[in-house]
Amino acid sequence: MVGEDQQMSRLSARDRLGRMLELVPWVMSQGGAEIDEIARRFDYPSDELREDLSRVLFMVGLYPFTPDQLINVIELDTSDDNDKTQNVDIQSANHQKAKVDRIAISNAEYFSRPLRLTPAQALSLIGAAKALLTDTHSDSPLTRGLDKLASGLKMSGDEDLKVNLGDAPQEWIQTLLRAVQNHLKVQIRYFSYGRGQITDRIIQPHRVFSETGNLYVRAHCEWADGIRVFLIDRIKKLHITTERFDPPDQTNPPSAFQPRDEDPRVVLELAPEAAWVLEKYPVEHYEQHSDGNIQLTMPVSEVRRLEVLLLQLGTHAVLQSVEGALRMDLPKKAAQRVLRKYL
Amino acid sequence: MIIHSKLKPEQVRLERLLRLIAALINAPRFLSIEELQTKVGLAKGQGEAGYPSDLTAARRAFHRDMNELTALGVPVIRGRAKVSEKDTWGYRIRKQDYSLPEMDIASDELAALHRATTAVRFHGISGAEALWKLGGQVGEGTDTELAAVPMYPCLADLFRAITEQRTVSFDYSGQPRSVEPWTLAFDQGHWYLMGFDHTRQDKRTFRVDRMVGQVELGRPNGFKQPADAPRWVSIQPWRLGNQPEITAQLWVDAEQVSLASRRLGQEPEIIKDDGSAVFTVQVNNVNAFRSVVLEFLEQAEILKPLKLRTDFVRWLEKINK
Repeated sequence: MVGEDQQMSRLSARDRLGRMLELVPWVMSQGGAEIDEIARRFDYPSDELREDLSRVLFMVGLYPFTPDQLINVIELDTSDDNDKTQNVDIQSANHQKAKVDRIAISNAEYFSRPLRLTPAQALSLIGAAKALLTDTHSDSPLTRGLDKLASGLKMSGDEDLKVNLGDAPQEWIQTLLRAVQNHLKVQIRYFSYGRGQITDRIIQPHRVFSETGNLYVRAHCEWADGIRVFLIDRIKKLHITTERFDPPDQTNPPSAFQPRDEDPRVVLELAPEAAWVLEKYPVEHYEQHSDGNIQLTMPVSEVRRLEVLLLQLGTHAVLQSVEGALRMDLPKKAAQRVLRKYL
Repeated sequence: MIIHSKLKPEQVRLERLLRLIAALINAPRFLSIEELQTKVGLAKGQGEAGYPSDLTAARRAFHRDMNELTALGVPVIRGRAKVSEKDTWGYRIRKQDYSLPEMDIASDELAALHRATTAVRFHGISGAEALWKLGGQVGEGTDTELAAVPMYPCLADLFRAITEQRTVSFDYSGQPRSVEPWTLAFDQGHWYLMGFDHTRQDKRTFRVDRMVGQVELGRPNGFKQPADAPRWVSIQPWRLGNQPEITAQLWVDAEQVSLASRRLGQEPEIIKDDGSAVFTVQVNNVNAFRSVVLEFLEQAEILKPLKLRTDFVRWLEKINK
């Protein structure tokens, strides 16, 4: 026999209350519902739900707690064709005959509406919907749901809240998400920043994600034969194929910067005003000196990216050491290349 | 034979909390803790829901319950209650504060919202709990998360202020600001608030993560957003500055034109035969503009004005020294 303590993931009182306050109005609005359906919708393990309905909710009511003041939890007998509805103890019904699988709730007018959304919940619902919709005027279930939420919350217009996860054509994001979900290979023409060239590749997309305002797809690249992260904004052409791939066993939490062991490292010394680099780049190690200067070490997966950074920083950064094929005159050479345009 | 096991402690607690909410919603006036002992019931023995008969113990239990209700966002208000000629604190819930407005969200809409909340998560907020209020989780969520959006404690307050047209006050760069909030925007990885700044008497944009301390909210309907309030445009660092506006012309190599269009938030003005293009860009922050141009390395060139061009060259020459 399984003891109480061995039950998995017991819900706390707050967990139960949070669910109960929302499921009661829903069941009332439906005029009754299947226990399994309630359990699914409200993430309430059905055994616990049965017990809490029959033994707890059933005892809730108003002073003086006479039967007419208590909430009715009614078994809807679906096996008989009569309307013999009665208050039952669902647990004991359990033992006596077929499991009660449908209930109704009444005499609980004060619980007939769900609790209002907290401002943070409203923000997250509307924000999530808006993040996925660039065209809020199109007709889709998401647009309609968003409209109803916004008008229910008396939002004045579309401009109240904006969520932009990154610049990228909306249909590409949708296509890539579909490819991830269905394990379909995608053909892309990609501008590689590091190489400064355009390549056509077949990729097996594992995950689409947004980081610091950019949208990326992490994929196995068949052309490079390895895991690569692509900035969706730099994809020039995109075509979903019907060819399936074996999904990876597990995807690590994605990150735009995936330093590899073989990536060369550089050491930079930054002036204090360039401290923002620590936030935006995959810095492996840094220390701040007493004069405020920062010394940092970071991997370089794209030489071009380092060139851009060093030109942007100008005299605020000094290259102190390099590894591998990188040269100490890298910023100079890059500056010369750009300057040649201005001769 | 049916043997009833005792209720679990969390079930006993659940029963008391449900009774408490029922009593508070039905209260015609503020109810004192003494009155709530009656209205919720007294726990006579172990495993029975209700408050202890001892008033001090009941008060402690009540305040523990209040913590749970606050955590769930149950809006309990406090006011004066009179009990046997004694003036004391009382509590109630107003139904209009408690209830979600009618929204009538259909099943397919709920499923779409479910997918959206699993694809885009907001840190520290359970999408599931929000969905329960709309009728529960319907359909399958996505198993692949697209984005996790950072949240700051003041965001909920700012959002509330926008929907209820309340003025907000906060400290920003060491200065107190009073702002009529118009738009909250998550853009390029940061949260921004745009609105009318009373202190500056002008439209301003603020980074939310740089607001210091508490955000104070004014009264509801404290301002009216002008019909011609500017729409949110994606953050363009080269526009964020107090420098006099410069009109710059930027040439971009064919390979980079579409990327530059999105980066600059505009279409090129001229497209040449070789596919390269010229953009006309309004600049209020020269340093930020230089950084954007450098993203394209030798695949971009500032054509005009001459001053911007020579400053750019000078910047690079210092590196080339």
